[in-house]
Amino acid sequence: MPSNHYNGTLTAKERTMRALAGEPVDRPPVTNPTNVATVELMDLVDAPFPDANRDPEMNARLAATGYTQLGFDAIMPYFTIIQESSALGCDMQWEGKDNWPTVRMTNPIWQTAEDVKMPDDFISHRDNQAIVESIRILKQEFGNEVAIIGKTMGPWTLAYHVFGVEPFLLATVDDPDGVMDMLHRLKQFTIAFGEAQIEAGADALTLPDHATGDLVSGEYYRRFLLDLHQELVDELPVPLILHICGATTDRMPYVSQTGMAAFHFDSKNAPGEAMAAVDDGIQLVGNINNPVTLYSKEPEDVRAEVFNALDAGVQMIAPECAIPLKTKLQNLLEIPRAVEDWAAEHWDYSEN
Amino acid sequence: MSDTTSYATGIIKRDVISARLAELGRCLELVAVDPHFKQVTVGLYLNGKTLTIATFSTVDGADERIETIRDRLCQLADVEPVAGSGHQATVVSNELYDRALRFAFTEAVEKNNPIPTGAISLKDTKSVLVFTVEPQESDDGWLYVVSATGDYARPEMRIRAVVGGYMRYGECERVDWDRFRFRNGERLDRFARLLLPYARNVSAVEDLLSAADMSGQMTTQTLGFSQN
Repeated sequence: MPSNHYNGTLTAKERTMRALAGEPVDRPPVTNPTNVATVELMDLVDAPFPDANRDPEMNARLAATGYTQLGFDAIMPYFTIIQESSALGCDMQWEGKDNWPTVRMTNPIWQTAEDVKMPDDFISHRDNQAIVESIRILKQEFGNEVAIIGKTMGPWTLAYHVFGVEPFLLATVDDPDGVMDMLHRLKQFTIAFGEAQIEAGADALTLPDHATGDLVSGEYYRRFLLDLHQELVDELPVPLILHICGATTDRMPYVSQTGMAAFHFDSKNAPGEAMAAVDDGIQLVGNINNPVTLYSKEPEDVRAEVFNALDAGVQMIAPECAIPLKTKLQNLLEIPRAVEDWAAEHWDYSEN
Repeated sequence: MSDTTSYATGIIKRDVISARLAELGRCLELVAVDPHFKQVTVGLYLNGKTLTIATFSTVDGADERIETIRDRLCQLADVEPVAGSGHQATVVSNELYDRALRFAFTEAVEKNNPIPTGAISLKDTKSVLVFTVEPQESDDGWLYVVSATGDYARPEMRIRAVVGGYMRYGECERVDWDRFRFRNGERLDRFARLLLPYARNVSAVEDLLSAADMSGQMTTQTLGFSQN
């Protein structure tokens, strides 16, 4: 079993940051690279969607519950994937309390790489400021007690939002050089928003870039994104957690060459196969299933899935993606409990 | 973690949830948005045989609304109010009918129509038939007989389907092509009435349940990042 045990007690932040750095920990951290807010937690702190995505104080109140109520080792204030796209002027559908705000990608705002321009108010836009100011509030409230993880969308995800999924994917076939130009230009938004969050106090950043298994191959990842992601590691001076949904085992060997701290992976990938695919090149975080296990099953099912991931050697445990907003709290509370019980049973702290 | 609430930001630092859930028990069902009361989320929790209707919202009027939902639940399902409590009910059946309870709770929150009484009867959605479900005592306890009136070529096909619906959603046993019983032959007239609209059109109910399950999910499909 893992030998990287820290013989003592760490704070939630120390646990998370050490695990991201591949250093010994007292138990695997329960991290939160995407979102663990639910409709009940929104009620508890009077911070419902969609307002909690747009108001920094509401955002901070809701984000904090991941740590204060659920016992996770990290706080994630960016619940969605649309803040930057809203700031860029995309057509938004904000939805209500019980659904995710989305970008209407059938109504794209740009057509070519030349259209990509940094708006003067990109960082100061209310939907980006909601996250930046929330991080500042959370840092002030929690200091170094718990890891504050920000999030900045990668250029591939931004491309879906600003160009539309279908036009963008067709362009990867018809005009791959033009697509590289688009991605390089979009990278400026990833860096600018990431830097703003780091300045506000983010300890790490999740970088979702949805070159998902459903839409593109591992070879596409290597061809269009590997170099770009390596550049982002150089540009953003905090640990980065790459998030890609879907079946991604075919691109994990490339992901492990990015230099990012961790890869947040989906339950469509078996933990053991994922560990083999990254071959110690990157830490793994995940991959508790959302739509079935967390949403509709019981705590004992959650526990079994946590154990399965830990048995395979996954270094950090988390839901595979942003959880369903109607997830029952009993299932979320079970994740840290299961991790603690697993570590108590499997780790021999006398080794140190 | 310090045991306080930050008055500057409203961030709650003390643990509220786990202690509350220890009292409430297992969450059977959540209604994310109460359409009749300030968009709050309401949950149905089970601890032993005690059901608790709860919200984590502290808005004014929440207690009164919870009592209204509890009272409606007791009219829709075979559960009885706990004396002296405005938010609890007791399961009176020997078995827990999980799916039926969840339907009853969702209706109690989302609908505000008068709850019917009298004969258990309802028009079919796929024919001109009108179904009637009648309890009948037998040697093995109570069973329910489904009959239909109206001008339709093969009413037995529809009746058989309705009995199948009770088996699916009420965990009932088929006694014959036109009759079913709840487990252990329990008499549960309120559940029999509640389930008839669901039992008469299983495919439509399944579509609605699937759509409800997808609401609030973030997946490659719901994000539009999928071919499916």
